[in-house]
Amino acid sequence: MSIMFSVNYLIFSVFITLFGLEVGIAITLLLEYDKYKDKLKKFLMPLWEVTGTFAIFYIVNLEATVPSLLLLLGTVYVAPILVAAIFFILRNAFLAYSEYMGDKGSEKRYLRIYAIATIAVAFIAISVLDSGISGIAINTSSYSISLLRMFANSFNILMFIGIALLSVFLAAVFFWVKEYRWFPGLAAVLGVISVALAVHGSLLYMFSSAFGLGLPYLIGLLAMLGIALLLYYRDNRYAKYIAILWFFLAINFFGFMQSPYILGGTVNTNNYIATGPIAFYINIVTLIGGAILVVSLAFMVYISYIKKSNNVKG
Amino acid sequence: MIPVFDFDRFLMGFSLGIHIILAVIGIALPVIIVTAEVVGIKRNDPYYTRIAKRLTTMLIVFFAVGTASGTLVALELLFLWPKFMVLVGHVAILTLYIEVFAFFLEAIFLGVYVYSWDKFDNRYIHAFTGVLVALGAVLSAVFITMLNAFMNTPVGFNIPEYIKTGIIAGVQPLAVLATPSTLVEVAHVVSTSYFAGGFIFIFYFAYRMLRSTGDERLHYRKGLNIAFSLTLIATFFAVITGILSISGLYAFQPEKYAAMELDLYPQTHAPELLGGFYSNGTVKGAIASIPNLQSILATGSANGAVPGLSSYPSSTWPPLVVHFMFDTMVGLGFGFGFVMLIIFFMLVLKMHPFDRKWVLVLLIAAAVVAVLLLELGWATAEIGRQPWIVYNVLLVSQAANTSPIIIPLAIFFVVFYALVLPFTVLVIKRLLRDRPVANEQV
Repeated sequence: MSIMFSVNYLIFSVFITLFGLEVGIAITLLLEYDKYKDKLKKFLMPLWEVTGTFAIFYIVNLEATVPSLLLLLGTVYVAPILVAAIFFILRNAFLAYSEYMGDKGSEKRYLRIYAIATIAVAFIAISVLDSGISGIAINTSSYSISLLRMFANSFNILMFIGIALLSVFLAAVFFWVKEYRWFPGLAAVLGVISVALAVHGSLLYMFSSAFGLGLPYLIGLLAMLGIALLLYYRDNRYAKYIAILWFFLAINFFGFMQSPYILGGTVNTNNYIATGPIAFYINIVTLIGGAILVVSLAFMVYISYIKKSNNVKG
Repeated sequence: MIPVFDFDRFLMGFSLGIHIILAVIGIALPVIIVTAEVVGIKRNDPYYTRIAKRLTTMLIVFFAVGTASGTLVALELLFLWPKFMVLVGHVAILTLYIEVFAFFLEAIFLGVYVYSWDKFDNRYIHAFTGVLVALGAVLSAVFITMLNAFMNTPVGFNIPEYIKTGIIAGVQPLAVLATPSTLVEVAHVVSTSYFAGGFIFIFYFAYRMLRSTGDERLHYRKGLNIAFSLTLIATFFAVITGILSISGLYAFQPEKYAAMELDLYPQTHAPELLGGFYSNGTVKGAIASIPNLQSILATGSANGAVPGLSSYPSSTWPPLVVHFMFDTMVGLGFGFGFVMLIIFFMLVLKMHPFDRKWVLVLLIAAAVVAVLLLELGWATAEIGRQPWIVYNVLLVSQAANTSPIIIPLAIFFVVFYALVLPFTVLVIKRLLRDRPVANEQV
């Protein structure tokens, strides 16, 4: 895997991890609004902009990484992506509206719309990614797509259910409520089973026999159950960091298994990766910009941890 | 039958038309907020601190909707114009790529700024995080404009070979950051963004002053002082860079220049034509024609030659409505200069213009026209480049996604925005109404 594609996958993984957590928050807001709302919002408010910016980062980095593939990807995915963009606007707008609403009724209503919009973005995005992985519903010679097939196939539906459950696992670990101590473990088991069924039931041909044994799922499941048990018996100080790291690694693991192929093995991305001076400058900008980004994010986290000053002066 | 690429054009233009308003708010507002906060700290004046806090609430909502509409525009670039993005990806992607980091700077420090009002012993540090928000916002505009400059004056690859064979070769990525039109275009976009964004807040403060009394009125008046000062400076630079932009067009996009001036033939001693339209090979209905003025403005000499549309095939002429748009823009611009000068002299002469109702009404009317000017400005620039998406290199029709699904999407987006934008304004109005100025903590 080239440096450029690895960086692209890294950005993608950070975005998916952040967005996965947000999907978990959205589902939790719909199911247990009163109990979790304050905890969830405290975390969500400073971070939602960063998540959205990572989405753009991924898209622009993809444009820089595989420019020759853009004609195919741009032509084929125009409808689902622009519809997802509509829900993305709703997600942003209603979260911001909810932040400053004085009355509780409006806040609840707006947060629910935010949650539904976020889940809709996730469903469309996962469907696009699934068809990108599997090639289901895509005709690469005529640059066309069957939208019905893209959304309504067993691989996509099982993957969405699995990822949604794993997102709930992540959110449950992050915003631990002791009354629901069995919940992360259950979400983890069901989530892994659903992803395993999707990959092995619908896309068996894509993976080598080593992975066909189900080893990665067993490892993933054990890791998550470990986290759930850690939560069950101890506090969540470490569990949430381990969970987020696991989620991040799992996405990378899943992606590297297929590299360098997409669209059901029909397109080798190595043949499309940018080379020459543009690749050099992109790598330089990634390095410098990435360093600034890390420092800025570290500062943001630092600020969120420091307490209010009792001695404000100017 | 209307070709699908015209729906691409419409959808892109419509989305940009909406986004540009939110973008200029996002560029100007952090500057107003930080100025208010710093003045508040320096003078220990709670009014200014209150202004900064209340405007931050607005900024969050506008940022949320603005980044989403910006995301939509970024996606549309790829999905409506895939062949264009293949070219950009190979040659000019550095502009968009660096812009993402500027966007990160803005987004991260906006989060820091909003949620750290009481976290620093030294309040100037908090204000500094606001400066980084403003810096991120303006840098985003700078790098996006660099891509637009590339579309107007493409460089950085072997253009003849690309036109002949479609092969992208001889790529020089850094050349794209400094095309012949980059500097002037960036300067014009930045100054007009502060101009239009500033005027939107002049509207807000002037309107609120008209509807309030006592302490609350004083609050809005102080806000108006800041917004007006920013806008006055921006107006000066917008006029200068606007004139330089026209000179740039003359030098680098002569066909677009000829369309905007409605010059049918190349000529010396060219008059400046006010109004008029093209009909059957001639110009009709001009309001006035000022002898030699166009040659003087474009070349510095009455004897200077200006280009004419007859030098180019009519198939590549831009829609000649750009002449009307250009004249309207220049006329309104002059009107603005006049209004700003009157108020500026009233301020210098200590005539307290903002205490006069007619001045506030005039400013409100001017703000509405400022937004119209903003839209006219970018529409003239973009329509003036048609039928090219990359000037003299790639046609809009060649670059477009011609999937028929674009047609319902275009209609749907219009309906969607028609609902979301008024709702956003309503929400902001309601949340500010629910938080009276007097109750704002400082």
